[in-house]
Amino acid sequence: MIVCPVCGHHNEHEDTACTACGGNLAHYVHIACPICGTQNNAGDLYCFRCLTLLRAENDSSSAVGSTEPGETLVVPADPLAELKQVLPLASASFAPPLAGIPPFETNALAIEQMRLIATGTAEPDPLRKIRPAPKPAAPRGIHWILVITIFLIALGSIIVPFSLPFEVRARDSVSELAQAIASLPKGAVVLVSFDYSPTFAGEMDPLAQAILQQLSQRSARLLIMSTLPTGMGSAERVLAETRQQNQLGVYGQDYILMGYLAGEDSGLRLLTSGFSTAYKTDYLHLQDINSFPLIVDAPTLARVQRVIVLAEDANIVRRWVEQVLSRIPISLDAAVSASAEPSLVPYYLSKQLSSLVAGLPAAVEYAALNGGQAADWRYTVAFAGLLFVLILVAIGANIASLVH
Amino acid sequence: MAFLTGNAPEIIGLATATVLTLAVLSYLFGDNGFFRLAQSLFVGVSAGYIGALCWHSILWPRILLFLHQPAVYWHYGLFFILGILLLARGLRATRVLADLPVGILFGIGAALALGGTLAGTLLPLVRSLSTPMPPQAYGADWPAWVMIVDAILIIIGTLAVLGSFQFTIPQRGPFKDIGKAWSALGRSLGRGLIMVTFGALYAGALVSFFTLLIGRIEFLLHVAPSLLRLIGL
Repeated sequence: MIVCPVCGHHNEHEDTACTACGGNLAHYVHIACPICGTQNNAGDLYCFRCLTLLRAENDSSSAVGSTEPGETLVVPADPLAELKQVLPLASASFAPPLAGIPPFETNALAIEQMRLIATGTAEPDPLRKIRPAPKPAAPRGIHWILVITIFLIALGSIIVPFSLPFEVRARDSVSELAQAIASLPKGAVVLVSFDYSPTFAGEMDPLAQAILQQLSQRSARLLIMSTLPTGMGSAERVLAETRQQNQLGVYGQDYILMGYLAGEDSGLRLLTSGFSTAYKTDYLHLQDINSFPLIVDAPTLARVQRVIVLAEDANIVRRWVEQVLSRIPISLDAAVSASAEPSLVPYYLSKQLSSLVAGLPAAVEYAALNGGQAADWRYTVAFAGLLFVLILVAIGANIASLVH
Repeated sequence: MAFLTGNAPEIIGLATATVLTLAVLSYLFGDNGFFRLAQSLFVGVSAGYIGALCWHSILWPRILLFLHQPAVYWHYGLFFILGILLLARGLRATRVLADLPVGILFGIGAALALGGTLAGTLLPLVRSLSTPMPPQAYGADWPAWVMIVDAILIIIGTLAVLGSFQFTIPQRGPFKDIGKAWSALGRSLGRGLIMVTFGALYAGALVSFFTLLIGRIEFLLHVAPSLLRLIGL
C-alpha cells in the first residue's frame, strides 16, 4: 500500500498515480520478487537480495524513471553547487560521482551470468545440510544402570559392616603433619584457617576434626580464621564437636575465632602486618581483638608456630604461599580436598608446604597413626567399589568403541 | 502440635534439609522445578549469609571505629566513599564515577597477584626444578639410580609441557631446529602429560563428589529415626 504524500490517500502497490488527487507515485512503486518476496524498486531489473530477474530484459514498462525514446531526461540541479564556491579547495570532492561510468550492459552473456548467480544464491546452502556424524549411542538404560550401581555402592558402604582386610599405612606427608603437631611444645600458638564451605563438609570435616583433636591434645592455642565467607560456619561446626569433648579450653585465652578475612590476596597480605591490622574485632563477641590474651601473646604471624590451611580449593593454598609464605617464613601445612591435591604437589615437593594431606583417605590414615579406627573406613571401601565400576565402564566403553 | 514445641527448630531443620537433599538429587531425572527451587534457595541463602556476615564482621566494626575516632580512622571514611562510588556503576550517567574504585581494585589486585606469583610460585618452582637433587633427599628406601632417573624425568616432563604451549610460534633463526624439536616434544609428550594431569584432577574431583554423595545418602538414612526421636515417638 502506498500513502500519497500529497493527500494521504491509500493506494495499491502498483498504482503509479494517486487515485484521489492524481499525484505522481511512480517513485514509490515496488515489485515483489517472485522467489524471495523482497520489495524492490520498480525500476530494478534484478532483485537486490537474491538477484532474481524481475522482468524481461527488454520490458521497461514498469521501470520507474525510465525514459521513452526521444523523451528528455531532466537532470536536477546539483544541490552542492553553491558549496563549491564556499569551499573552493574541496572542489575535487564535489565531482559528479557517476561521470565516466559506462552504462550497465544487458547483453546475453551478462544476463546469463546474472541468472547463474541468482540461481546459485537462491538455492539452499549445501553446507547447511552437513550434519556432524552421529555419535554411537550408548545402549538404552545404561545411564540408569550406572546411576543405580553408584548409589548401591554408596549405600552398601553405609549399611554393610565391613573392615579393611589390610593395615592402613600413612603416607609420608600425613606422617609429617602428625609428627609436626606431636612435636609442638605445650601452649604453642597455631593458626588454623577453615577455607572450605559446607559443601565440602563431608570430605573435610573428618580431616579437620582429626587435626584439631591432636592439636587440643597437645594443648595448642588456636587462632581460627577463614578467607572464605562461608568458612566460619565450617569452623563453628567442627569446633562444636571438639568443644563437646572439653578439649578447647577458655575462649580468648586458649582459642579465638578471629572471623572472615575479606580481600583474598590483599587480605592475606594485610594479615602479614599483624592480626590487629587485619581484624578489629573477634567473630563471636565483636570485642576489640587486642583485648584477648591470645592476641596479646601472639600479635603477628611470626609468633605462630604453625599455620594449617584447611582448603577446598588449590587456589586458596596457592594464595597463602604467594602472599604470606613468600614474606614471612612460617611452617605452612595444607589439608585439602582430594580434588585440590594434584595442583599442590609441586608446592609440597619444593618444600614450600611442610605437609600436604588430602581428603578422606588422609583422615583415615591420620586416625590410623593415632592408634584409632576412623569412622570413615567405609569411604575407603566405597572408593574401591567406585574404582572397580569405573574400570569396568572404561573397558566396556573401549570394547564397544572398537566394535563400532 | 504440642510435641513440636521443644524440638521444633531441629525438626524443621531436618525436614527442610531432607526435602532440599531430595530436590537436588531429583536432577537425576533431568532439570525440573524442584531442583531449580533448591538451586535458587541455595544461591539466595548464600548471598544473604555472605551479605550479613560482611556487614556484621567487616563493615559495622569499622563504621563504629570511624564514627568514634574519626581523626585516627579517617582512612576508613575514604574507603567507604570509594565503596559507595562502586554503586554508581548501576546508572549510565554516573558510571564514570565508579572508574576510580574499580581501577584501584584491579590495579592493586593485579600487582599483588603478579608479585605473589613471581615470588611464591614461579621462582621457587623453577629453583626447585633446577636444583640438583641428591639421592638421599628422596629417602633411604630407594636405590640412587631410580632417584636420578626420576629427577631427569621431571625435567624432561616440565620442558615437554612448556613446549606444548609454544608450537604455534613460527620457528626462525639459528635455533630453528632446536625449536622444532622442542615443539615436537611438546606435541607428543607434553600433551600426554597435560592429559594425565587433567585426569588426576578429574579423579580427585570424582572422589570428592562421591564422598559428598555418601554423606547425603547417610543423612537420608538417618533422618527418619532422628525425626521420630525428636517428635518423641
